Amino acid sequence: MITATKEDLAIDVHGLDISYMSGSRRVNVLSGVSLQLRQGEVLGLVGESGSGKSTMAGVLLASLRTSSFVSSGTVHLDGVDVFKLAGKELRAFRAGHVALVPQNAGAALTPTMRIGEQLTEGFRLDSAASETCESRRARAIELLKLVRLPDAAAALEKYPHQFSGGQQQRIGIAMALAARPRLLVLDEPTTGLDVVTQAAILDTLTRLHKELGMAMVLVSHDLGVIDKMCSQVAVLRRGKVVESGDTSTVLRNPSHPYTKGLLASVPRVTVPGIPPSLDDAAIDAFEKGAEMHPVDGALYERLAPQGTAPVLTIRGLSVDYNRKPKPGSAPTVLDVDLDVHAGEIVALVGESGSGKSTIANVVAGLQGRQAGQLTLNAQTELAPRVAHRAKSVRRAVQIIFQNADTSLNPRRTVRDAITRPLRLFNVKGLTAEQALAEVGLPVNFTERLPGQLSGGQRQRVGIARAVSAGPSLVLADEIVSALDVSVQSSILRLMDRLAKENNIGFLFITHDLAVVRSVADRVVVLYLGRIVEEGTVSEIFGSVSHPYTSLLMASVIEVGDDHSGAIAPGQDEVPAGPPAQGCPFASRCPLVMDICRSVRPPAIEVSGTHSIRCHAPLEKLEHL
Amino acid sequence: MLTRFVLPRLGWAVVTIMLATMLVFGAMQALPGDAATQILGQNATPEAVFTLRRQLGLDQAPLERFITWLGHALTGNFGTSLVSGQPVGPEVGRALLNTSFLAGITIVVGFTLALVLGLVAGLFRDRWPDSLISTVALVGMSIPEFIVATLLVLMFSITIPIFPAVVVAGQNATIAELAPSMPLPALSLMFVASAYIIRMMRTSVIDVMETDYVHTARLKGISMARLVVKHVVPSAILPTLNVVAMNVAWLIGGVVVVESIFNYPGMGSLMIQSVQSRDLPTILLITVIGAMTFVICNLLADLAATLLNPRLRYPRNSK
Repeated sequence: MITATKEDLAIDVHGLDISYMSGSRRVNVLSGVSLQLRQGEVLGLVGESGSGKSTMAGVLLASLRTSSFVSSGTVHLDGVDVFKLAGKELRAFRAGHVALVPQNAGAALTPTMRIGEQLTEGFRLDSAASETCESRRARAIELLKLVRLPDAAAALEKYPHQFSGGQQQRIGIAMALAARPRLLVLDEPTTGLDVVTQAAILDTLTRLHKELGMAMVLVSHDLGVIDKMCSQVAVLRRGKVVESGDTSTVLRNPSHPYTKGLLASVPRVTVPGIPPSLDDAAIDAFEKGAEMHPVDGALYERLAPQGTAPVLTIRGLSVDYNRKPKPGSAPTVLDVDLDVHAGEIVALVGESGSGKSTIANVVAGLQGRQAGQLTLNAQTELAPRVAHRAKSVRRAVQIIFQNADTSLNPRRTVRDAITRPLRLFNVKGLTAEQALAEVGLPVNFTERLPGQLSGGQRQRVGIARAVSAGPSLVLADEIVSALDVSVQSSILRLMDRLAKENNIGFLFITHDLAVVRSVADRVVVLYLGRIVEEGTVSEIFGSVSHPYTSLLMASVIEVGDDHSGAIAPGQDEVPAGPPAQGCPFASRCPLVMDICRSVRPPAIEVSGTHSIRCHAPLEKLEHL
Repeated sequence: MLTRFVLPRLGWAVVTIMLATMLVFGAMQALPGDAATQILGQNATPEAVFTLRRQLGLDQAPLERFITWLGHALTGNFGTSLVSGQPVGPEVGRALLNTSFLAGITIVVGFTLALVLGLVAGLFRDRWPDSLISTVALVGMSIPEFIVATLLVLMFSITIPIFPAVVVAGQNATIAELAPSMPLPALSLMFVASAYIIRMMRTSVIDVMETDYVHTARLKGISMARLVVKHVVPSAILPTLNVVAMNVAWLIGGVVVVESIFNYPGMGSLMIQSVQSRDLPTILLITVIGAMTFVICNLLADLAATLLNPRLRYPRNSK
């Protein structure tokens, strides 16, 4: 229990209710939230969508959505009641005391203003008017150097869109630090970034916290990130703090069933198998006073199919977005060979820009190709454009999209969405109700609209739509990335069952290595449109890997890791495009040799199923 | 930029102007009567009409006449007026100057005001300044301009007689002579044309106010004035530019109704007269100028949008 006086606390939230009116009914976004944080400490706010964690982040800057209001409770920062501030006082408080690092820096930087001006306007209120232009500029450069942005002086003259996502996030952090805040609030600062970039940004934050010593609040859905960064943690569920305390206690020895369930539902790169999903209903009952049965933490291990026929064969696929190839540029996707067998889940892994979605779009016939042969079921050539493909071929290849909410027509019922392919492909003997039952949804959902479903339910409808036509190949593009972890594993289990029972081959595109470990049979690792490594899931996660795969693995942050290792500076700098010759990973590789810059590495067979494209000798590729 | 962006559009501009003149020429053929019957009146003998037609060159086939006109027009010779016998250039030029002056005042005063009002309405969304501005703008969009003009005359030249109701200076009046009677036509035009700009700017400001970057800038604790000028306006004005361009083109292309009501000697009035007298060369020149204005204004709006948008000015990978 914290026994400091109010002034000593960086944050003191007491009995806070934040509400909005829905008609004449008052709905609580946060209810009865009490939190305390000492100076210089780091608090993690963890929760799933709808838990109120972003509202809580806004509260610390005295910012609410226009329709929301404080219905009871207080928020004190350094002893100042923030909701008592208004007008100029509030502006001064925000300018000098508390700063926010927004979730998506790409959208949070004003597109029409140069970086330098956006940084220096943060100095305005805290410094004397006599400060000169040059000293302000020097301070801005100093800030950008602090967050390790390359070429800081030149960056001041640039506009936000000229930076990569990770660099934009660094600028967002620099902008928040401009006012020398005593409290830094970070709202999902690394969500949406690639795993290597995330690791590098978090290392920067850790270093900044050590050097500057301000208190920080980190809002995240990622338990691993919270575990690495925070000394204190509060777990939020539906606007209530269900558990809070020292991070090590809460995450290693949770007492509330929600925290336990959440921790159990996170897939791990170190452990194969699909984790159990969270039993929401049981937790609701527990909250009302019922007995909670112990959570079954057993993982479900998938068995790879043996000796099935190939459903998709890709040979020598190349895609170039430049219509007339420029000197020095290289095709976006080059020389990709890939097989998917019936009933098999093949994961295509890579960072953003690695060309994984391009490959899916080529298979779906939505994107043209410069070279390569695609064969379906070892007999039918796939035409480049979907319009030139026979109906039976279109029926055999189906796609599930990342965002179920935008890929379903909001004005069409679930029945419409599911029966469309049934009518189009003249499928007899399957009703919408049966298709829903197949994906584990209640049959009375047929007349609902997408807006009346939760995220996980919508993704099930998307899956039902794709599999109802009886495809032999399903392209699953990041289908669980937008879902909460508690729902994620149930969708993964569904994919496993459909592969097994309907003999569907899945090409599963993802950036999440833990998800790959839990569900995939084989893995293809892609870097800048080139395959660098492929093998069975146990081989990829085994002891010998491509330096790029090793970097990805080293960047994954999970609960219980020792969190002491750091990414070498510059390792997160992804080049804008693949090099015209040599190994695509040469610019970031710790083992780089002269030959890597000129000759494309050959595929070295580690085993019959495992191959690595690297010039380095195999013994150097073993993990330490 | 020039070859990829401007040149193809200029090509399309030529096609647009050609199509416009062909349509107008065709429409004039479809109207009963021609310049000869209009000049000579209802009681003219068929012989007199026939002779005049021959003198004016109206006895040739329409297609032949169009091609002849086109050939001359390409060399800059737009022919002589069938009514006055004078070259059409100077006459249309005078009307264009008058209209440009009227349009200029409307654009400088009215459109600037409209952008500011739209900004205020967007910033005070759903509060009284917004309700007031939006209602007035909606009224401006709904009422035809001749009613606005008539009401303005009723208020400012009959009830409170401070402005003249119509221009009495006549066809050859100089700008100085026209100036005193300018306010009422200009006000009518501002009222009608501004309405669209206000609504577009309001919507655009509301969209920008809800973006993450405005939210972030607000949480930085900067002043409201700086927030609006630096973070909101540059992004909000982009979608509004096209509406502004359309309205500028509409004004210069001759605002037929308002000019007629106030007897203002501009392009609109001249067009009405020329249609009545079937004075084809004058009408065709007005058509060419009108079409060119539309094309140029839209081109300028697109160019301005490109120049104001850093994403288009500095593509990501060119450093």
